[in-house]
Amino acid sequence: MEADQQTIQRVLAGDREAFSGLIGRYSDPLYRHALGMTGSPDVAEDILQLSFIKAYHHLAEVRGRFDAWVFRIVANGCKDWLKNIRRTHLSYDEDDQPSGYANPDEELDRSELRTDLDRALATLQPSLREAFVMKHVEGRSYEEMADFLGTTVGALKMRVHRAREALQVLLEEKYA
Amino acid sequence: MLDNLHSSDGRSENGREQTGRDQNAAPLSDREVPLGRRRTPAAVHAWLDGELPETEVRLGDTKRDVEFWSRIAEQSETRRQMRTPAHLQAQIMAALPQAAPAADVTPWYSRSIELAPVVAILGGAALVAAGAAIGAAVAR
Repeated sequence: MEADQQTIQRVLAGDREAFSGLIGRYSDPLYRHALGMTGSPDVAEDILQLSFIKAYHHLAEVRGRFDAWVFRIVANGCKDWLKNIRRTHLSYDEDDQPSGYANPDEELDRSELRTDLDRALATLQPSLREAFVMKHVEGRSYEEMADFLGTTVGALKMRVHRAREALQVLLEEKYA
Repeated sequence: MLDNLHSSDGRSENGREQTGRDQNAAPLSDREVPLGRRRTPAAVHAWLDGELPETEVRLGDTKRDVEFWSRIAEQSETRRQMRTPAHLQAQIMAALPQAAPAADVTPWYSRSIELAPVVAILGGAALVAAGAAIGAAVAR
């Protein structure tokens, strides 16, 4: 696989199509982050599109790792959206995703948990939600999270722990 | 909202309605605590952080927590499999300008620099030494 820096050089030299390589390489984890933060596939798509366009315009300013740089653009886009829109109910439609459940009852049960988890996540402060989504939905290590967010492992552990406490209080009665 | 069972019906002696702050000022032991609200045990956090094996927490008081978080983990795993919608990459490419990105126009004095701590300390020490030398020369 061509290194990110080489791809960036090609794009800067005028090879616009080379940018699709960067999109293909990083869009899945970035989409999952935006979806986890906003709870809406449509909003996640919009944030991803605007973020990649912004990344293209500012590509010459990339210093260090492209994945961490573009992640910060997406993460800021999500936080801006959360600041502007206060939503009490968030639910997204995963009809286009394959169903792996054995029967309709089980699927209904999982779907209810998904909706309740979305609602509970929507009540968390953006920084706690971000930490929880990165750790438990995206499956990142604390070290990687610290690298991407420019903070310490200790601070992130604290945020994840606080998010878990809050989610457990909100969901435990129904699901424990 | 918790019921106020005092005969004053939530009002102070002068008849004014008490604020939430007044009520929160009551001693902790007097406050009503909803059942089921308890802290996630430290061992469960350690297990979720990959620092403890599941066998060590799936017993006693923490068994319930493990079952709860296992259900959440199953749900998270489903989300982890999600992919970007197929049309999005083409949509982004179509929205990009035809021109190549502009060269970096940030002036050199505004750009951020990366500095290893050792280099920063040595640089600081050199500046102090130079300052002392200049000061001594001026004083003479």
